[in-house]
Amino acid sequence: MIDRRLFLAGATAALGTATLRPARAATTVTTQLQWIKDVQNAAWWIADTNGYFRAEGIEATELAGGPTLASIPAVVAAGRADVGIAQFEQIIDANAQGEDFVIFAVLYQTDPAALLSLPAHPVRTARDILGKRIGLQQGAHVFIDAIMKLNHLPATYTEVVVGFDPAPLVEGACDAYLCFVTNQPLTLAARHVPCITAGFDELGYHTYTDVLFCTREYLTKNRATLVHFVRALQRGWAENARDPALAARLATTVYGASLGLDLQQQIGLNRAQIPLMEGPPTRAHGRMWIDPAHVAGPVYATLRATGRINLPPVGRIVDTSILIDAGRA
Amino acid sequence: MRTAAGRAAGLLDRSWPVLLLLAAWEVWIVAAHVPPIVAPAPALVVIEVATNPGLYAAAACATIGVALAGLLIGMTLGIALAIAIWATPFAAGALTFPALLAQSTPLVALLPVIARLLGYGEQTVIAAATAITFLPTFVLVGSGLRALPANAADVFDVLGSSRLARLVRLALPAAVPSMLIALRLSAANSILAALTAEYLIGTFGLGRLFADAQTQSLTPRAWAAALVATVLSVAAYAAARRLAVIGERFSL
Repeated sequence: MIDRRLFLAGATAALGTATLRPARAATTVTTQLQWIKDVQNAAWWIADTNGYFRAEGIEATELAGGPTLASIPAVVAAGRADVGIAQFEQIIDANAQGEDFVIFAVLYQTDPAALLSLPAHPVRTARDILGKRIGLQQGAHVFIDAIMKLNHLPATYTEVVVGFDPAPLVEGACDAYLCFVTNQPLTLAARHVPCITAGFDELGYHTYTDVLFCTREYLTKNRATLVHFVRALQRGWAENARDPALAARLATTVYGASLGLDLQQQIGLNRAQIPLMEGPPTRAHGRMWIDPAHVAGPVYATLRATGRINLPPVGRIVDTSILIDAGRA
Repeated sequence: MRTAAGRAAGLLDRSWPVLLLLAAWEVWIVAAHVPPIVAPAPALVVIEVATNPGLYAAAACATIGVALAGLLIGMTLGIALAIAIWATPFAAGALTFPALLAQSTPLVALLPVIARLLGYGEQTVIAAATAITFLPTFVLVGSGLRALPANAADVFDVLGSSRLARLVRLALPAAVPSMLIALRLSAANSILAALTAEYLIGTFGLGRLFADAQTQSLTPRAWAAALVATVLSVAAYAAARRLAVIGERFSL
């Protein structure tokens, strides 16, 4: 019933009859965010504030993620969220254990993960990792091991387990530090510390960071809802690219008000993430696009290097039809 | 004479609540169709341990090593500082507050500070484990050193004993029961402490295994690591209790 109403709402919107508001009974879509409620989820905050969700008949709620959340796929599998944001690898691993998740959109076209180093001991290539002390968050050594394997190098480096603060790098406790280019390099730049970043893509590790996924059952039953949801988010991202300060203000004062976020840091982060979310694929197919050919090629090659065998056919895990339908508006 | 059947019955008698819990867990998983990524069935967890015995044994050994080192250093430090406070009132003011402060600060917040002082490595993992086991010993031994047998202090006064003689012959023996309580409290805790420290900054042990399993969404492995850690904690508690029973025979 609700689905049909939403479909009609979408159809009327598609016909350009903008004066006809969608049905009042909005469908709730709960997103389990990958991270805390900061500007990284700019589209959610803008779509909510500017009424893009409402216009699509969506009542959106968000659950905060962050480093203490054990498993985002588990939250979605348990039905506590409709949509989750996770690493591409996590969805592969979950499906290998019997889940049936489908990825229907993605946030980043370029992986923000990178190795951050200081000019004294620069890390620009995988070869530079050899013999160095690499500061990694707990569990992240698997990425560096894979980078070495992809570059046909031995995994001879010293792992230093650190947190999300780049202080160990500056203090000399490690030679390189696993960072997000949208975060720690900006912190160091603000303190006038010159630094070098080598992105995961440059180092040979190709993945999709922050994919949107749901169970196949949810996708089948709520296809129309997801199309509306994605369309609202695409509008949110488009608006975010036009005015990077808006979502930063919303994150610091409304949605993540209790987190004590710094407005300038959030603006900086947002400005840094916007180009990573765009590229030739999004210009050709629209925002949040995920390219099945890229998955089948470089991403699957990377996953094989991490020891993941028996990868599913790409069509089994990536569904671009939601994005295609969202783009038809 | 106790027969094998009698022993088994005795074991069942003591462990039936745990077995009931396991059965309820298995039933819940099957009945509610809980996917393994959310919560694995107990059988799946046991199979995970049984099929990778080397992995869990190596991790458990590393964790036991950290826990033992943390327990040993923590208790030694606790006893030494308790004695320092017993000896000079100045130490009492200087040490009690920082000790309480250190204990009431979450380990997660303490770790960056410890790491900055000691570096990011095994020593910091042990220091973190030490930080958790230190306080029970410090507090209990501190009060134990003052809980002297009635009139015993008077005897030492009459005989004009030195401070050292009082410490070695009166206060320390009087504090042995407190030390044994501290040991019993800290033994199981030291496993937890080692696990926490490994989980946060370790490159080895059950805590690390748990963290890695989480990163790779291997829920059965994460739960299996937790299971092994639970068994270790219970074993540590049992061993400490045994030790306490033996130790009590030698105390005043």
